[in-house]
Amino acid sequence: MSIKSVLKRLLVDDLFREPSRPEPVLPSTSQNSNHSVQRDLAIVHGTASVRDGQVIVTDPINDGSYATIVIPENPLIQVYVNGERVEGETVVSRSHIVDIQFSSIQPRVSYDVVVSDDELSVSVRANVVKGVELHLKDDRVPKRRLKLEIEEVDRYPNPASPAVILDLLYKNGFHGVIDYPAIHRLCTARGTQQEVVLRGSPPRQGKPANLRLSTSFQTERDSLFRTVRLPKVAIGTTCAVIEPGFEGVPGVNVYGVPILPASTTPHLPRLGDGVTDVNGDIVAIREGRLVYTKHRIDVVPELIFERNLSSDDGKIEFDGNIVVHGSIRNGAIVKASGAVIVYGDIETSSVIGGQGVLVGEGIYGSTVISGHHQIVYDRLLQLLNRMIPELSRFGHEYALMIAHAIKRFDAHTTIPKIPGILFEKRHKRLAQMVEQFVDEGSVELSNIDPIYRDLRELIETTWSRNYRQNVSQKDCEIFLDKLIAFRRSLESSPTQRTVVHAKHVASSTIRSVGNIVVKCNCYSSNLESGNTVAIQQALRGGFVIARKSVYVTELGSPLAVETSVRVEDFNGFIRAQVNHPNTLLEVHGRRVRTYNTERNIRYGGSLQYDQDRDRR
Amino acid sequence: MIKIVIVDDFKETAESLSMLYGLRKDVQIVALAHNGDQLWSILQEHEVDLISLDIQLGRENGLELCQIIHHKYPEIFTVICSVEATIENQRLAAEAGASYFLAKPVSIADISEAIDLFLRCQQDAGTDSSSLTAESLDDLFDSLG
Repeated sequence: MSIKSVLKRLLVDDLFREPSRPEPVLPSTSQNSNHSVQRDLAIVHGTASVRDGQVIVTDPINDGSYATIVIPENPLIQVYVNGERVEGETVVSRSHIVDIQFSSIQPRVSYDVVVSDDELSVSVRANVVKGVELHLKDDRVPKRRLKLEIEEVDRYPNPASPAVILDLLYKNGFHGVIDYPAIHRLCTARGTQQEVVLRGSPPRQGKPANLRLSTSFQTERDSLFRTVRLPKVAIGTTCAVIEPGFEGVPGVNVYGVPILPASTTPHLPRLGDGVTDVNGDIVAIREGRLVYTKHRIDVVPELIFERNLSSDDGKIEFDGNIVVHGSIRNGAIVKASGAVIVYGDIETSSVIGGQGVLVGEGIYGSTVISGHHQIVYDRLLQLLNRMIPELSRFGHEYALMIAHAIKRFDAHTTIPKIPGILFEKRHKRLAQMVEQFVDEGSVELSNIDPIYRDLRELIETTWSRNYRQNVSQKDCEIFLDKLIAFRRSLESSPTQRTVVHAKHVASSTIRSVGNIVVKCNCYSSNLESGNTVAIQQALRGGFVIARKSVYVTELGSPLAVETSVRVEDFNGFIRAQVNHPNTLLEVHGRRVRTYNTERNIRYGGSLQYDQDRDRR
Repeated sequence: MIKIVIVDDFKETAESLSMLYGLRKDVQIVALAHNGDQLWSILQEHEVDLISLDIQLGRENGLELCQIIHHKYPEIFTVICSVEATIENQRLAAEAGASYFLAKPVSIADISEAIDLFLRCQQDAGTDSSSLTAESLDDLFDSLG
């Protein structure tokens, strides 16, 4: 073995040699001094350990160090040594009385009552706060420095008695059906939770009577107008059946207050003159076209012309629909209480349709009105709004003058002259309005509206030019009451929405209480709609007024023909794909003029003005 | 019959207005004019009650025409009918002697209001909206004779 290998072996042995056991700690001076220290007296330090929640302390021997305990920073633990509270690291001896106290958190539960918005259920919310119990963690290995460790154990409230929640419900005076399983769940809750514990009884809704159309009817499709119509029926046909409704059952809320079910007032459509109710069956009493809308069911007679109409045919008036399989030309006047359907043109004529005007081709140089009764009612309503205060003032002044006149010596001759002098000197406008009231409505309106007919008769017998100088104060009161009742009925009656539909329109005036739809172009015409105007190609010249909206593909012309459009509703709007110069757009009084060509404009509504400008 | 002349440089607009006025049974459209010259010649030939006048008449100004009409024919009821319905224009129209201002687009109801105003102006008002006092009561009784 060479010296080199011997050295190597020695070094490796040294590296892998086990560390020698520590020798007992000697006083610091013992290593370097040769004084009288007995190396065989081993120093033993004091220790501390935890066994079964108790701190066990041993004292040191032979000048060893005393043990210490380290008390954790926790407000729930308090340590006393010999009755004195200690914190942090503390020296302990076997002779010390080490007392460790814990402040545990007790679990608790409280209950809140929550009533639902509809007052049909009561929930109870159990607010559970869990408790905490502390223990000293065992550490049986004796240590010179013992860190006390705390063990936390969750504690839950004991199950509550259902009586607690029932008592809560009782004290609040609730009524209803108790949900015992829910109460049980709350009583044993280990966390916060809410349960519906009591329920009222909701009302059982009734069903209003409704109208069911007879199932045997086959609808007729018109490809030209893209409409679907109910068929023609013969007299005696059962058109529809009234299905009776039933009343609802009231409920009771959790306070014991009854809740009434929704009203089951039937909203049946009005029966027109062409049908009658026979034991709940709606039966046709004349031959004609069955018409059924939300507001009306009727059998409307149909007058069919298989030829053109002109002024030579005289004024054509018909209580029902008029169907013309040709054109209406040369100054013809056609008026129908129902719809007017023309498969050709309307040229230089007047056409009035109470339920709409459908034109297969164009309307040229003509006047077309749809929903004329509604228009008359609108005018009458405006007139009534002016007339009622005026008549009221008349009555008031009449009373004043009588009170003044009876003090006069010539009262018997003066009093009868009062109405005449009032009309002559102070109320000419009232006299005009009374006459206008008769003029605005027509004989046709008298035939279909009994309230208007009654008022018209009253005017003709009491308030007309020949009689009004004799009206009494009582007459004033009666007239005023009737006018107010009529106004109320007009305000509450549903608005009709009849349409005008045509392919082309030029140099014409069209007025409709509903939509106006022009499939191609509209030139130099006046359109007024109670809803929407839609022109699928160009609108050039003239005026267009709609209540809600106007849709146009091309508005105005490249030659800047003056064209103006108005929408009356605040949220209404005007849309056009191309808007040429010299057009005027108005929405609810906000006006804008166009000086350049604009594309894809939308004016009004939520967007004030939006367009891609000048993309020519 | 109320005789009406409509003055507008756009024949489409004049035609539309003519149709709207023509819906009234008490109205007769005397003629349509597209400029001042045509208007003056119509006024020389026809008796006219009401003129509907646009503000922008090509190179001419409707407000200036209105002023001249008011001066020469004070009895004619002039209705300015324009797309330029600013408050300033309405003030200028009133200053020029216009009796009424219609903002285009014009509805049937707008036309009716203008005509009704014209008729009211023609008639003796005959409606006294002041409250009835003891003095006015005496006047009324005196008028009973």
